[in-house]
Amino acid sequence: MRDAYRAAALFIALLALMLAAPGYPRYEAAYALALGLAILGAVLLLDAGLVNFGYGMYIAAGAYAAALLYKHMKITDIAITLPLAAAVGGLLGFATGLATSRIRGIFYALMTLAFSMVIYGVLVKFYYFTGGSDGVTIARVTALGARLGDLHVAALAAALAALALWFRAKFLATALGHIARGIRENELRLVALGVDTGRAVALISALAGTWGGLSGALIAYLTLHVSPDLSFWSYSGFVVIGALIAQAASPLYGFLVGAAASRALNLAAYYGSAYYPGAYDLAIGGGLLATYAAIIAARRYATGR
Amino acid sequence: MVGLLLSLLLFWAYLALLSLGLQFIYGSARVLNLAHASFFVLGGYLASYFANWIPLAASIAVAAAAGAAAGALFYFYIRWARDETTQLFLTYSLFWLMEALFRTAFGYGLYNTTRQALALGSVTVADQQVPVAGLIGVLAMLTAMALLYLLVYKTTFGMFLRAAVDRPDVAVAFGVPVERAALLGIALGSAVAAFGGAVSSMWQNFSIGLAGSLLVYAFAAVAISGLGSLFGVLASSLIISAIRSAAVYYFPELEIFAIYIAVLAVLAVRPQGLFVRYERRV
Repeated sequence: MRDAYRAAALFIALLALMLAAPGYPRYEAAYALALGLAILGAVLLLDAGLVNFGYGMYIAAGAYAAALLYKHMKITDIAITLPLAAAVGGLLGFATGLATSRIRGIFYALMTLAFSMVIYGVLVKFYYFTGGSDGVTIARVTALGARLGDLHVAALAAALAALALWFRAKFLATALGHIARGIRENELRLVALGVDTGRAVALISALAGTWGGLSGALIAYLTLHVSPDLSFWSYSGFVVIGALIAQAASPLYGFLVGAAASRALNLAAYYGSAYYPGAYDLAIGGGLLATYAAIIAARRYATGR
Repeated sequence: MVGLLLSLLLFWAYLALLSLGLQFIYGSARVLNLAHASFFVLGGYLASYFANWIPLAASIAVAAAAGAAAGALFYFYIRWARDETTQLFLTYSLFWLMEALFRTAFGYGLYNTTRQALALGSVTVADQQVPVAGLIGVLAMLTAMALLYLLVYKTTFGMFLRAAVDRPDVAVAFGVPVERAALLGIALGSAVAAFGGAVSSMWQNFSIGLAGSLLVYAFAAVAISGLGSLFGVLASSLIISAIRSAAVYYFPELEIFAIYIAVLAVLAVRPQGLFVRYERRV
């Protein structure tokens, strides 16, 4: 029950924030919360020691599920699109998890990066279906027939963030949550204990993809525009930075901290690129380097080695 | 048909020049460099830049030398990585830092040496005009491969390289300068990458964002061949080039998709790669 109360408290606090904040800050806060769902997914993988440099593909899968439902069938009802987006992301997560169930480390990172670039290529090239590099613009959002405004979508982001917190607390206590950390610490021992680690990786990946899909659909309804850039690897770079910060910050609330930090870095890069053309590249490269160095330094300080 | 075969050959040379250095560096220092394609692109940029003033051959040599110097710097950077995860983050960050460098130094223009390549003329094979530049590209790739092979398997330095990677502790006990072997290996691999980029600037535009898409191709080649095998990556580059040429010919939308179907098929059957004798330990 404690987890549910905690999630409810978070929802009320975030809802108050959304009601109090004016237009643009509210949009950014809602975007950060939507990104937080994706960061949670990336953290699930990071728990198992899997660094996914192509996480954006799950976000893109969810976002395109929402966008293409509007483009081809004019469906914008979140009661239909959100579950579908989550399912599409989850299926993609399961498929990539199966394909990578036996590879780890750098090879895993490169493989997922490559998958996301393949999906990026598909999204760009099948322009008659996906809108190509222009992407898809969504005209409206509805829930059970009623039209939703900016504030409603922001409230939806708050609700999903609270749901994510509840899920995270539950997940940490499940067998799969323990297995995830076991895979990172010592996979051989888990195998000796009779755990099918390949299956576990596929399941964790499916969960991560589900959150990525939800995040993508939410981002689609927040920005009302979807483009293949979501699957481009620079976007995934920001997710990885956020996930690293999240993992270092707190096992439970980390994804909210990581999302805020990642979004702040992305905004800094966005405004910085007016002054320096390489601001985006510098933000990802330098940001990741600084984050990782800080984590290593903190770990060395804590262990005294 | 000759046209298809020609594009297959050219892309083979292109991809092999790109992935040879990557494999060589992994084989000689156990570093999988995510920024490897950036060294390739660096070579292309530098050769195109210098070719405005000096002859093409000289500018290619300058690019290769710059690649070796950049590789030596990279060695001192990657030495901080004690484990694989650190290596992953360091090289991934380096990719973006080099992208920032390219954007600052070279801007958004297209860099190539096609003007100099056109001046080389073309020869006629089976009623088809074949540019000399393409033949030079294939020749350069085969030469690089032969030299690397001779170096690794027929010289004392090559023996040191292999010993330093296979059993570093024993190699140190026998007086092999392990650190220096890794430094030279990385510098040489990076020089091969920059050389490859410089040569392929004769038919390839170098611009922002190329390194990222190249990495995806290079990784496909490495994944199919398996890590560390020089001949393997030559063969896998040929396989990928064949798949790509066929895909571009019949269904261009599925180009990179088709390549990764092949990668997935290989991973399902032999996760360690087609041309590796031992289990991969990455």
